[in-house]
Amino acid sequence: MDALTVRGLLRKFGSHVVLDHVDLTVPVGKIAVVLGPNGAGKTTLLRCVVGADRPDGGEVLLEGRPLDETDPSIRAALASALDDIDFFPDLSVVEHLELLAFAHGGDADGVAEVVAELGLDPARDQLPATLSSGQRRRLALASCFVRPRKLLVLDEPEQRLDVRGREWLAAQLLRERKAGTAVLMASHDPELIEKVADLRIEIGT
Amino acid sequence: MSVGVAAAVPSAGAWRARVRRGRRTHHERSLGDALTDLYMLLWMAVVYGGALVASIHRHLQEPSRFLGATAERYWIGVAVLLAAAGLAWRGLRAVGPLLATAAEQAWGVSTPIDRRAWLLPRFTWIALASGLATALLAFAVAVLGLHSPTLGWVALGGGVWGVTGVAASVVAQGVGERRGWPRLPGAVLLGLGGLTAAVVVTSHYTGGELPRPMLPPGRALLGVGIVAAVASVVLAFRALPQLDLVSLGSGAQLAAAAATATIGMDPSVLSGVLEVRRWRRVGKVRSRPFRSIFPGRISVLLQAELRRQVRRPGALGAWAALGLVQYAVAIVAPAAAGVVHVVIAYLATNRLTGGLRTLSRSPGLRRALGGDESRVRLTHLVVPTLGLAAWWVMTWPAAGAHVPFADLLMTLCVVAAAYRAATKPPMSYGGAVMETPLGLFPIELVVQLARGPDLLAVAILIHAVAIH
Repeated sequence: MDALTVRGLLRKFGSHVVLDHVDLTVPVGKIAVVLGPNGAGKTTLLRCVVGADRPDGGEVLLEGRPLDETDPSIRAALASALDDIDFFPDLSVVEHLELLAFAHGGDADGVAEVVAELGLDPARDQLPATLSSGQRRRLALASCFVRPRKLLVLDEPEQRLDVRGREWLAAQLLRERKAGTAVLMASHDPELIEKVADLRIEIGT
Repeated sequence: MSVGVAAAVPSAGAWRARVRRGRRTHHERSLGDALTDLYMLLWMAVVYGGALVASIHRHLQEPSRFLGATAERYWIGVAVLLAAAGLAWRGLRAVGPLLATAAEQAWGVSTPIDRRAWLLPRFTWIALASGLATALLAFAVAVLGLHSPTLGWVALGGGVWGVTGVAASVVAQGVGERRGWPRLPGAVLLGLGGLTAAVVVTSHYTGGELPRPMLPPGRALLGVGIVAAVASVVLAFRALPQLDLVSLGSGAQLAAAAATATIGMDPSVLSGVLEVRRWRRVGKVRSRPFRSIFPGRISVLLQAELRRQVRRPGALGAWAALGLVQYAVAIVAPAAAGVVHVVIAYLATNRLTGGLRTLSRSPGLRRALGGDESRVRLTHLVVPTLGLAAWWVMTWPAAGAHVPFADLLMTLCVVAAAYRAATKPPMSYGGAVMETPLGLFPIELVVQLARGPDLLAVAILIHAVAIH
């Protein structure tokens, strides 16, 4: 069964066509990597999929239903970490993650484990302004794993991660696949792509 | 890695309470602090708002040889109100009016929490604030004499129309860009404002006479307003769950930039965001090769500057509209037309200094262009200078008394002021502070803020000396 279906996706900025009728499918429990040169529209594609940008044409389906971000059940199933995440300046790392788990009807039981796995333990009580760019990236990624999900959308998740962080990321993505989560991600890291990709989707070539 | 999942998603109120609790543990702001801020805001609104209303009232009522005909003054007032309503609609549409900060989007709005429950308190507060503001405005208009016999009804009518405006803009936010009607109210109101001003100006200069404007009766204004407010609030309530992340997020970016620009006293932060949006809407342009009309690169730089101006029709429109404003001022307050002419000329010239501003803000761009930096900057001043010359001639009949030599000096000052403003370096918040009997005076900050307007003050001084 296909978790995600994108049909004829069109996105233009004025008269400049960024996505020209893009089609793709991601089956349940598969990892699809979007590939393409800079400016190909990888980030725009991911933004349209998660509802952070409005396509000018085409459709996005989650398990056969229109992926409408205003539908709470869609929001419950879709986890994403794009580059536009921001933080409350006066909440700590662990408070952010507990808040998100709570907002999804969960509890804080899994948060400590996610914090530890992402190496955020020393920073758990730090406020966002004191985090390095790598730690902020880890916090953004952690936000995807403290909540339920059927589809995971990640934009260049390897960015700003050190070698250990990249190893953890590859292992986590493989665990996601095993758990039946569909993953759509953009990446420029050949090693990560080689390790995890089930499908390669070329755009803008 | 496992995450516990409970059965129920929390309410928006529970989420907010949790955030408030978390935030309180990291910083303290007492009720007394909040009440003090509120008191200061109200005090400033009452004192300065009252003074403004009293001064406009005095100006409108006073038959004086220094002022234009009463009916024309009132009609210009109507044009200003219409244009202000159009700009208010555009402002509401630009920021949402409902928005969620990037942090709220990531950690709250993107979760399954009910979106209507999330947005309803904000909608209620914004609608009430808008209703209060327009009620005060309507009251002020009534006090100014347009409709003084029914002050209360007019104020109430203004209030419900304020609520209607916000509710309608929420409905428009739900519609998004799918349909064209959300753009209409702003365009129609601005167009009507401009048309009214143009009719008054034409009538004035052709010797026509206009009757004094009459507003619809207060009770009718209120009755129709209540029906419109109820209908638009119901539609807005139904639209709340349909407001998507795109519409909630784009306004937040603009609001954050506006807040930063206000706090930092640096409008370039806001104009930068607006520029990016404008050019994203355009997307693509037709690239053509530059022609070297005469040796050297100046002709190419000038062509690039001209192309940039043509691609910014909004700036050219504002430049032309400011000419109409000058004519309107000459009718409303002929005695002040000369001074205002200098100020509006500065504003009109500023509309044409986009290239110079971009160049000055970007050391990388200047390095890439290379050569003599002063010459490059001066080349980018050619179009604004020619624009000022054309504007000055166009508004000559509405500029009050003239002394030709002084006019030349004033235009030079205005160009220099626009140059100084466009080449202002990024704001620096350190620097010298002087201790005065009234408190600390940030000299360096004031010097930075005065860069540009300082030469404008010289131009006004020249005008004052010349006509006396």
